[in-house]
Amino acid sequence: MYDVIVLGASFAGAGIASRLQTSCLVVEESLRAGYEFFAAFAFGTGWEKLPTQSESRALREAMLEKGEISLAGDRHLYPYFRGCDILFGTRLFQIEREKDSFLCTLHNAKGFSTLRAKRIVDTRASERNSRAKSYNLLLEGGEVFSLPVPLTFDFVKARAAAFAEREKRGEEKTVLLSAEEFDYHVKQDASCEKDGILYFPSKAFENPFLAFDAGLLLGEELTK
Amino acid sequence: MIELSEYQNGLVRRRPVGEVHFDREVDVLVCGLGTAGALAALFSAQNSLSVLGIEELTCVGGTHTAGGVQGHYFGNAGGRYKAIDRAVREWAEEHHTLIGESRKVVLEQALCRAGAEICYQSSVCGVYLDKTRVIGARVLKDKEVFSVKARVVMDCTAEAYVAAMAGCEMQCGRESDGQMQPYSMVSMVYNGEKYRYNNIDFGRVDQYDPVSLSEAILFSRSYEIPEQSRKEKLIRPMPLIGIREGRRIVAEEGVSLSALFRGETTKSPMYYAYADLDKHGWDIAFDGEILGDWAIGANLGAYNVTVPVPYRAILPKGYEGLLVPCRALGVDRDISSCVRMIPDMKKLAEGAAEWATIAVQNKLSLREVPYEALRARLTESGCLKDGDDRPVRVDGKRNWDGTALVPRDVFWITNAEALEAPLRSEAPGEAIWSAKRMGETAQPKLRALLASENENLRKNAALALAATGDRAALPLLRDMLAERDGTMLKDCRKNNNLRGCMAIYWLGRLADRDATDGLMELIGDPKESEREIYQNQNLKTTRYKVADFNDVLFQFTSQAVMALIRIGKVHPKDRARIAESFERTFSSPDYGRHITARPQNSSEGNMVLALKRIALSAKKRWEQDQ
Repeated sequence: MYDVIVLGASFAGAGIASRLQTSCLVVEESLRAGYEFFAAFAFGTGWEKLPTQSESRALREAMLEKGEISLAGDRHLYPYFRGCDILFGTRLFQIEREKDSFLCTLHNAKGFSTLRAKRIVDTRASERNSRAKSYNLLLEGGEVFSLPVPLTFDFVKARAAAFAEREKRGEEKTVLLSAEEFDYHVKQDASCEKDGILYFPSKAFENPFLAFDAGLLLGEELTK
Repeated sequence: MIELSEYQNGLVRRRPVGEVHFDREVDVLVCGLGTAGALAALFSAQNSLSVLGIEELTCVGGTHTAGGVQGHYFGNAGGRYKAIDRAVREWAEEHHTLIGESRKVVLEQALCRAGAEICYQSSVCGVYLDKTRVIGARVLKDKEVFSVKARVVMDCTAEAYVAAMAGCEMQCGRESDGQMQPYSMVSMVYNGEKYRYNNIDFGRVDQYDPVSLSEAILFSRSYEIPEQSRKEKLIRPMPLIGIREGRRIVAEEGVSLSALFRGETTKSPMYYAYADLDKHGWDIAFDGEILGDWAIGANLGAYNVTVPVPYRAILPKGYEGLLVPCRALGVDRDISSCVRMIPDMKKLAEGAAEWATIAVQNKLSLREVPYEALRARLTESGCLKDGDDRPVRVDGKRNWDGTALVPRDVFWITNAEALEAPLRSEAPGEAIWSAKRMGETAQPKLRALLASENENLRKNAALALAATGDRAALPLLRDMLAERDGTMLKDCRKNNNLRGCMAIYWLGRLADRDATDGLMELIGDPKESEREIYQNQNLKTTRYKVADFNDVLFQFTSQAVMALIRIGKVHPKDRARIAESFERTFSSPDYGRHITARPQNSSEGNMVLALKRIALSAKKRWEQDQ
């Protein structure tokens, strides 16, 4: 049984895992870490602020290249998952509350499997815990074209709308990539505990290293 | 009686489920909307079939979009995909968008216009069967599961997840150690003028094991290749890792390299694949003997072959209602590298869509669809062209020395006297293979050539004679081993072999006991790496040159290990001393440092690890056999 299962290989999730190490399992649906910021091309604001923990400061420094946010800065996040167990490409199917633990049913290349944990921390953002979302395009030169879209929009509609709006505005900079993830604007009260599960969306924080910082602090709390 | 088949903890579990009230019903369920799946869904929908497409990612196109792979080696152009490719290029230009992104948008819009439904962030978690007839699937999206009934299910997952879940017979990995081709990471980079996709090879991964996959992701996403980091600015790593090989179905009509070499090919092709047999790793010594004779023994690894792909190569053996139009189609491992290119996937997609269309529209099972009806459609679009059925060919843009390559068809030599001239040269590969084909009829002439004063002639004749199975070649082969013959032959535009390595290969194939001491010396002498031959890494015709990897030492060592294993296989009395040699050499924690200092998970480190593992596994196997 794990002490904690963290849902989402997010920046906050990495912080939690860093503190908990081997007693922690991180479950991530995609094949990415830090997607909530970087795969969404939502690099955050307030990069000049210094986080509280030394690891977060080191991560911040690594993600800044020549004073600018590196578009591929998320690659510095992966080593922080080394101390814990992590399963990429794994979907959470079901959580059942038991007396002193949670029984989680997961699904991945090996099919269905179950694992137990004393605690669950969900660091993911979605339409359920967001007040709004945007869909972003990465343009040449590192600029981001951002279009707010209805929460009900799927990726097909959002992508079409973003390209259409870009056309309408006469934007001519080349589109390098369209986002793999929505840029969620998480609700103020999204961080909470409900039915024993701690909801701690990484995207609620201003930027990636502040999310990581908060994760470290939460992780420390969870070890007590 | 309907059964539901699912994976649970890595094992397929099948159970009766009685009557099923399906949530959805479609003509075609396409599982995986990658390079093949997106087009299979599109062409089916454009043929007026009702289509639901399931995809784990948040875009269509797979390797061709999220994987950042735009180019391909060779292939034969032609088919319905051409119109899509044209639309993609035009849209990219008109909307100032890179091709990969344009493809996502154009495909999505085309799918929607054609009436296909796309379901992202979803995966198949179960297959419904009526005995061996696949009738539908269970789909997991978020925390919800829904059931879909389909006349035809297309497994375009590349990893044959659906087929495996359904219990179809599979094949996977190389014979020596079960490993598959190395995986890659692709990143978008910028060189100051242009954005492009940069590919970096890593080691091997077991994509069916989430722990192995996760390890590979952690390593490769954070690994910085020293020589790359200085050259171009990294923009973004692409979301999909580059897996080149996975399991393949055993199909109703498969394709094997040995059959291709015998000239035994299908009478009902869907299309003609065309490429070289590129195994994309440098540890080709560990691939099997059919491929080894061609790529090592005759140095023809970069020659192109044409493979007629049977339409029933995408129909799992003994099953109905399921097609597998993706790289998991029913080809053997040796052929698979030739039949995994992007144009192949696009043609498979078209073949599957047309097959499903004829079946659904005429209320036939897939097996009842007459080939001629399918052939007519594929011929009309240009997917299948008899003109694509060509002999072996030298093809490409540049020769090994950078000069312009002039493509040509290859015609094997059939007269032993005509072997002499090419064997005098440093490009004897076609003569060696021709000799193999001629067999005994070539032996008298080749034996006579062993005495030639011309070094190339006598040595190449020995290689050719070995290829016919004649042990008269052995003394000269042993000489080439002893001198570590470092002549790089020049048959191919890339990946040429050193003659000494080819000699070692044939010593192993002929299971020459008298070579055992020499081979053990090669792998076990602590001073071996100090030889002159291993200091020269500027051989122009060598494989990819990578700093910090002594490819020459690796090639000699890996060929020697495989030769010793082959000798041990045939001569049980020699096993004990060969095993002892393996133990002494490969159990040392120091082993491999003269080949590479790169970590185990890197492409280079992984090959050294494979070398050790294969040698020590052979030792263990022999001990267990005693």
